[in-house]
Amino acid sequence: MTRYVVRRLLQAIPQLFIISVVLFVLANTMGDPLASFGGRRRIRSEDRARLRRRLGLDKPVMVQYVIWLVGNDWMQVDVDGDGVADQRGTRRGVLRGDFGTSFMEGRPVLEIIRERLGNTLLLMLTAEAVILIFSLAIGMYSALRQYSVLDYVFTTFSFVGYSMPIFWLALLLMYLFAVNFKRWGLPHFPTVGMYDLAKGKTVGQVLWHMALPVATISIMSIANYSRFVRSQMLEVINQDYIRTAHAKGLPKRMVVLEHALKNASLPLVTLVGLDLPLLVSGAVVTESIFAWPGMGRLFWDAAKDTDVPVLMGILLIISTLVVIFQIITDVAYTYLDPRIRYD
Amino acid sequence: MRRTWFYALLSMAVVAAFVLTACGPAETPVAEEPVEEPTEAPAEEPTEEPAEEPTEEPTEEPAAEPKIVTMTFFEEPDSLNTMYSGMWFAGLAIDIFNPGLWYFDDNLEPSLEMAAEFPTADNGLISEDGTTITVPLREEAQWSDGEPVTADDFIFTYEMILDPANTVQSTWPYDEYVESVEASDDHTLVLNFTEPFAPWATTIFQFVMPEHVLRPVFEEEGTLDNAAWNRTPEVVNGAFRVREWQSASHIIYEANDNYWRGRPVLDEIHILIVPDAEAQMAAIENGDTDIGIFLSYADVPVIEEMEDVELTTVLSGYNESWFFNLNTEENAADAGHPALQDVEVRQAIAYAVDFDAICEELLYGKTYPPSTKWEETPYDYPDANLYKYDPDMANQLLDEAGWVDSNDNGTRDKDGVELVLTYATTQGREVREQTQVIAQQYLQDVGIGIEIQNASYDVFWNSYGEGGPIATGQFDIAQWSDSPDFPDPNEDQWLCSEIPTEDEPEGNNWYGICDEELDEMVRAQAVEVDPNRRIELFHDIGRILTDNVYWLGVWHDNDLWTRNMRTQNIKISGADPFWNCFEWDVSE
Repeated sequence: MTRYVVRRLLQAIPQLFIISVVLFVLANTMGDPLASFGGRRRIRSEDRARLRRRLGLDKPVMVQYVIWLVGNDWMQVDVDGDGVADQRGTRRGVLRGDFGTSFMEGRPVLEIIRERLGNTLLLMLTAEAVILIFSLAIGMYSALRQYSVLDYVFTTFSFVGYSMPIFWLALLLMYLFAVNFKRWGLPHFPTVGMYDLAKGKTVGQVLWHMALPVATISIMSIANYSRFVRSQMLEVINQDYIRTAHAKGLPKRMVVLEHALKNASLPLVTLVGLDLPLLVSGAVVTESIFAWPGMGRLFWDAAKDTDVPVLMGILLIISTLVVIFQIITDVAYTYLDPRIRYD
Repeated sequence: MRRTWFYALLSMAVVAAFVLTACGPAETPVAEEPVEEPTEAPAEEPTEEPAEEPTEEPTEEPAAEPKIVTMTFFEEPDSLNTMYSGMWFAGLAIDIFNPGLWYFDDNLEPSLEMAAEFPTADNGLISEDGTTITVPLREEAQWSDGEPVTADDFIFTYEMILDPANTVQSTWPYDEYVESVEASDDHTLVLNFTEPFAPWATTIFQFVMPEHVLRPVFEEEGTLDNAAWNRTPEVVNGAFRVREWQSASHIIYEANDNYWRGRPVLDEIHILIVPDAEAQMAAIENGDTDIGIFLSYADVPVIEEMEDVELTTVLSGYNESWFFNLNTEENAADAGHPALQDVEVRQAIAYAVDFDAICEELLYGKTYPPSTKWEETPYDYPDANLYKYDPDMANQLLDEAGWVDSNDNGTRDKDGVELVLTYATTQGREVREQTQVIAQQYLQDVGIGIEIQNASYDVFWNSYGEGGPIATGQFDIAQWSDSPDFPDPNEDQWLCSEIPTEDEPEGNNWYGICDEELDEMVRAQAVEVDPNRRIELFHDIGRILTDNVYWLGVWHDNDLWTRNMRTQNIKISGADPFWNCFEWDVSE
């Protein structure tokens, strides 16, 4: 097993290298980072040229990639644009933990990501918990009461929920529970932000502000996962060992929770496991609409502004997590299913 | 068992929420300054014997609610240091805490901040040849930490702008026009120009940096690029100081007790950073924001339905305009359509499109076509030809110019060349794209074909050297909104020398217009120090631009703002919107 893990980790190195090259080239073809610099006015051509040089954008993409990867503190750079390299560079490169500086904010990329990561995990983990609780409850109920009125209701709502575009759902919830509820004089949710600035960042405020974003993220996934749980449960409860458990006289609750649900949720665990690295990337649409200061919004803003260092930072972290979680999932299989051997 | 399992999951979710909230991103609070007793009274206050302080009795009444104004930004500032940002929204955020020599108020008159007197030829602060300007500084002005604001702070700011170690947004006009900045004493700044520079008042020292805070940073790091002051300027000279900036969430300002006018009326200003204009609209509608910024004309009908919200139109100097490509084969840029070389054809285009109707339909009648680029200012040429919609006149002019539909295909032609023009603008602004479609129909009605060819922002604005489609002449008509050095009317884009070439790709006369009379006037205004003579020059410039249809106004692009009726004394200026934030107030 150790040899297998080491081999997979070694394989991950060229894998991540290729991913980083492809992503870097793609990120650099998204547009001109200087486009957002001038605001409402055009930037003077001389200033554009100076900024390009200072940000390293005057170099060919592959040279920019090398500097991004290994830094430029080992070479002389031209600071004043006179064509003479006169000063040692200051970048250490990704391989030495320097993800560069944001073109837009002028701050280290890792500092920016660190600021947003907590907010995203708070939102996404809460949403994931809500998704699991509701999808398991709905899925199990629908399976155990197949073709009941509620099963049909859940099925209908699942299809409606699953087919709704998330941006539309987010705006719908915002206009109903925030804007219109306020207009009708009812208790209402806030439209945007993480907390009311006048009241401060309290637990209550954060929970209140995250209600609509969490609902937006959860509704679609609950619709999806509950259908999955339902079908898995239906398959399991018709198995011989469940019939045996019933025949042994075990209480129905124990048969369902201990025998049926445990087996039915194995594929769900795999599904959720593969989703975990994506939690870090946040929910681009939901965070943007509700102004939640998380990773999804950071990614969207960076893409809009062609802030290549930030984009690359986010994408590389996600890519690395995906590779690592793939290895963890592979290893987990050997524990879940003893028939699988990698050695 | 079932309950245990359920509660376990629920507890995990709640605990995760609490833990993660507690471990939320560290805000960037500004270090508390040592509380100092103000050493001087603001200069404008009459020096009176201090009234006897009433003995303060301990009071049991609850503390008054802090007075707060909240506004929304749908673009997050990239920096709070003017030197590092060209963003309009960053400029707004900076206005609140970092004034320069003066602001321009809601009447576009100078409102003195760090300067004690506005230089004019009459008060002798502008030299006769116009190359030296002396600015007396306000002696009572101080930084929020109690240090005085001196001429050395301005000299330091000048040095930092020009130092190549700093990745500043623009070095203009300091690199081109300023010869030196000197201090004749601690509170007298002397600006020496290489030649008279007319737009000095709107371009020089619109901000100042604290030397005593930033010079040590520069000496240690060799650059100010990473200075903490750029994001959390703890030492400021404006009415408010930045308490906290949490990326993608908010900026909180608190009153600066050491502001030279005295403590502002409000206790705090909050800026909510929202992702887009739609989120801002929802916040306005919900009462979550007191000030709505840079609103779209499409939102006007909704805003007008809101009870507690007042819509304001503010002159910003911007005009949505048509620019014509008059580049010829001789220029380095791609030549425009040959028909555009004929002034009669350009006039016909102006007569053929009903811009009033476009303003009425697409912009809800909230604006109108401007007569010149200096609409609503003294520089606007009062007798400009407005080219009111007249399709008959357009047909007549085109016939006279020899452009007729000889092959009956619905489009005019001449010498085998069809009159089909390429019409370009930036992608993504709906009202522009709608204008294109309507204008296309109007022009088709008089036999002018239109091919729409738009580009995204980042491509559209690329320079000549970068192959930008407009800079390299890949258009016949281009549309965008721009402004002079507002409220100064200066523009140099009409100079022959600004036509970009392979050897001089920096030029910004992307239209290839080289009119000797216009060139002479534009050069003259840039060095003219007599305000009245300058107005006359701009009237001449306006006349040449409109008579020759080198430029055509589509709509006067004033800014739309909203304010919640609970706010008071908010007087938005198109030049420095938040110039009077020190006197903003809110009702209970």
